[in-house]
Amino acid sequence: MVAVQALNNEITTEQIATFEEMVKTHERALYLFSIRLCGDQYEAQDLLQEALFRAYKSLNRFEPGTAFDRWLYQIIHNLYIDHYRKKKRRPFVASLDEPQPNLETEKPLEVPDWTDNPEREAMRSELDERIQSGLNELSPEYRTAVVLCDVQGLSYEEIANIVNCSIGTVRSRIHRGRKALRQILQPYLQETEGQR
Amino acid sequence: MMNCQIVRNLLSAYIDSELSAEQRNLIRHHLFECENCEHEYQQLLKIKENLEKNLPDLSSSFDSWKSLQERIAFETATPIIKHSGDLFWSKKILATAACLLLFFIMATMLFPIHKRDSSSFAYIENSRQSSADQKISIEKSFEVYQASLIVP
Repeated sequence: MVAVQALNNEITTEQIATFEEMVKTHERALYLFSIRLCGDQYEAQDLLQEALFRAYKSLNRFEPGTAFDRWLYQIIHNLYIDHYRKKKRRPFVASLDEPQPNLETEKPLEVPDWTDNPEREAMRSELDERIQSGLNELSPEYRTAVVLCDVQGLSYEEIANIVNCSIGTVRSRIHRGRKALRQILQPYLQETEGQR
Repeated sequence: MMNCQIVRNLLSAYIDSELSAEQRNLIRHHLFECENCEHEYQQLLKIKENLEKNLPDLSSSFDSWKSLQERIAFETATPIIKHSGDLFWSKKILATAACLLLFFIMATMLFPIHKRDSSSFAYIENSRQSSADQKISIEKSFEVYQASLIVP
């Protein structure tokens, strides 16, 4: 508790205790949102940590009684958009001195399988990968709208408040995002229709 | 009766129950009659269902509170370097003064004003002298020529 209070002396011990409780309550939903946005577990962890840190620093501005998770979704979304724009401006640079991986001689990483039903787990994982790769192809604005609606289950009005735009824009982003996903996942959708 | 384009644009909102009762009824009737729109509706619905059901693997434990505590500890340990305002401005003034001084020294070395003037005067004097000498030599040569004409 002392370590947490060290950087922001204006907040009380009770506020920190409430903050901790709220973080722990919404941890899973926030992490899920970050993962769906970033498409990578470690990037998502960094994003969530940064968002929580920003929230902690401006905890005085948080109005008790308002939705804590909506406030954090907003912070995560803004951070993600900033990060995405910076990443887009900064091109990828590969070192010429770095040794190239030799795929033929390289040994595959052996990971033990602890799941109860490996077959079902593999199918689930494959579909999840397809969905995530489809989401990755969407623009960050469309991705946020689709994830907040379909994964987090928020209404259009709530999404509009989080991303700071009109309900009409949210409606259009969700529709266009889903249509783009439909195009990307078309082979899978046809496959499952054929199985019926 | 709604046309297909309007219905397709409203399909996502229809799936999310974000339409008025009247719009919902119109779309329901249209989907009942139009096979293509019904097919698109089914596919969009499937996309939504898959996004809802197929959640990424969150089994790898990530303790967000612990992560935040670590971050705060790191930020507290890192010294924050603050520039004092006066020091910043005095440094800026010194740098400007040094640049100006260097500029004047270079300018004086490259274009020495007084030296150039005196040398230009000397040049004019020299040119005057040389033209006078030239005049004398022409006169002398003329005299020699005349003398040569007189002498048989």
